[in-house]
Amino acid sequence: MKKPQRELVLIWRIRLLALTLIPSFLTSFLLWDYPFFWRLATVGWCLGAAFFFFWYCPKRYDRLEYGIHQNIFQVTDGVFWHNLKGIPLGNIQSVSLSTTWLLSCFGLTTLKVRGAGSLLAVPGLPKEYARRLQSFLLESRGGQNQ
Amino acid sequence: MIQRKHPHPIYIVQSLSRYILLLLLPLARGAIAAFQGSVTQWLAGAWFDLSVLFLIFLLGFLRWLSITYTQQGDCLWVRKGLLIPSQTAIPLEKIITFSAVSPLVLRPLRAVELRADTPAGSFQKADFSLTVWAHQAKQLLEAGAREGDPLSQKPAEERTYQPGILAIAVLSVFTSNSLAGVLLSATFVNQLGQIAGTTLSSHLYGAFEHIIRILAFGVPPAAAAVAWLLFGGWLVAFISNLLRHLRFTVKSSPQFLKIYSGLFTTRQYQIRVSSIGYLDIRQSLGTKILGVASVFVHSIGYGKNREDLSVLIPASSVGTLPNRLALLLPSYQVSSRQLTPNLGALLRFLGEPLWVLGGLTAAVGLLLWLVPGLSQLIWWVGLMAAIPALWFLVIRIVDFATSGVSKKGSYYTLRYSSGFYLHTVVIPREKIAAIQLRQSVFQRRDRRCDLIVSSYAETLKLHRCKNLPVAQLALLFSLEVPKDMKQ
Repeated sequence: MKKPQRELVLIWRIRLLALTLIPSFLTSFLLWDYPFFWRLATVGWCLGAAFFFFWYCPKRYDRLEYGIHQNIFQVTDGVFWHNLKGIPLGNIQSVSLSTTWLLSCFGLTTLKVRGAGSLLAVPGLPKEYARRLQSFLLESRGGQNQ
Repeated sequence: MIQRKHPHPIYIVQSLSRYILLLLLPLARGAIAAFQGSVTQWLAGAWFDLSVLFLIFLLGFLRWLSITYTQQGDCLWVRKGLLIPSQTAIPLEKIITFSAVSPLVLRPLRAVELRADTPAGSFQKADFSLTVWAHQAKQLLEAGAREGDPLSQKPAEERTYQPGILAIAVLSVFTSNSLAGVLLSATFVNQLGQIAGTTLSSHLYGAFEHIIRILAFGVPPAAAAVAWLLFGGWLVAFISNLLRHLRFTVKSSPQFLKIYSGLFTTRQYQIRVSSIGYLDIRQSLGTKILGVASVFVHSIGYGKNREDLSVLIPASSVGTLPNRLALLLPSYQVSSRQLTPNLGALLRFLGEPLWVLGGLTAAVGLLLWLVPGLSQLIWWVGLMAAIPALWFLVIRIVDFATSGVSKKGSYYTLRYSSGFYLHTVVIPREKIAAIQLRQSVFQRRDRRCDLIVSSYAETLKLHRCKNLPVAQLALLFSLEVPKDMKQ
């Protein structure tokens, strides 16, 4: 099993910090006149953000793995619930690459493998490698179907 | 010269509903005339109403004229559209299910509703659906069955299975849904009211109320009405199911399954064996106790419409089921359980029904405290609601004792329960769309997980087996499981 690029943790953390602007704004906007509750809410969301920043993001990365084993493309993920999802190569319907502005800043992309009614996503793959993997999966699919 | 065929002329009448909105024009004209209060004015404009009616029939006729189909080589060609013509080719080898349904009203006209389904296209609609002459439908079905058979001129050897009336009655008893029957009856009475005037339907509802008062047997009349309504609904659904499955016959060859049924509306299905998604051997608690099971086929195009069949063996004793399956689909073999849930998982099986029973008890207690005047009704409704909850509890106990996974050759057997039914699913490895192993924090200690297998037939279906050992599952499904899931 292989792992995506380590930069993914940094990307998740940047995204998390951007997201913290929302509770920060809401608490300030709604609770400005109630200093006690404002402090309470601020401590609450700071603790929540710290939990995700220091524990959840690295843990999520540790759990994220992908690979091909006996003609099954499989991905493991999940922090609270451990998941192993697999799609037989012959049943892959489409393979696509998508990227966000933040991912492309690091030269990374997300590989999305669709089966009938199921989707496996592997974020944080280098673009060129993801393209090769995409071609390989599409070719393997054809080979399995023959 | 390729001979293109038009649909059956009844298709003109069937397609009129598309243009029904045009009737708003004479309706609007009639309303205006009524406001003006002049009958002569309305009569003077009757030519307009007749013209609209003529236009509707003309559009129906043009639609019929614009549709042609033909079988040429290995393809079924369908041409549609007058102003913007389009032509579709459906390769016969890609058609998974061919069906020919002949409702009672169409039988004297020798018309058949023919449908063909491939893995492409919409879930709701068949890829090809047309009302054609019965002899033309027969020709197309035969052409579809010949394709792919190396000895195309020589029909493949067929094995026939025809269940007795008792088996069909058992299936009808256990698949009849009270709600569907109630809705069917209510629609019928309302339609009757619209056709024969509201007085008749009022009389029928009045008679129902009177009968309920007689049949209440000391039970609150409202509760008795609900109970009798449900029973009546079930009876209607039962009769409807019975009529649908009468004369049920399956003919099996290595390439195709041909299924025939129906007394008034006759149905014929032709399913490609290699494209069957999975088999579902279904048991309710009642049939489990009786040692009887029904087998359903899940394949693209089979069971697409609400009134379609999806059954392969209506009812068979558990002992004779393997022989019947071996006769019809020899490759689909049910294997004995290899992986089973552990005792620690008992609460995961019983949790939901216990919550329902607890909630019900609390609700009854609360209502008795809030409205003591209705205690008789509350007790009755509570008791009635407790029966399905207890039923559900027993189902889950049986599920715990019987669920599991096994593999024989390239066929997996998954045993689990869903709602009030126990399922034994036989699925070929190549038909598994996706596999998921899901492990909660509590399951980590036991090195167990839930198995979720996605299959893809007419719709996407998830089969979930609870609390199975991770390491053995990984071996069975050829998965590479990370160490933290199995240690």
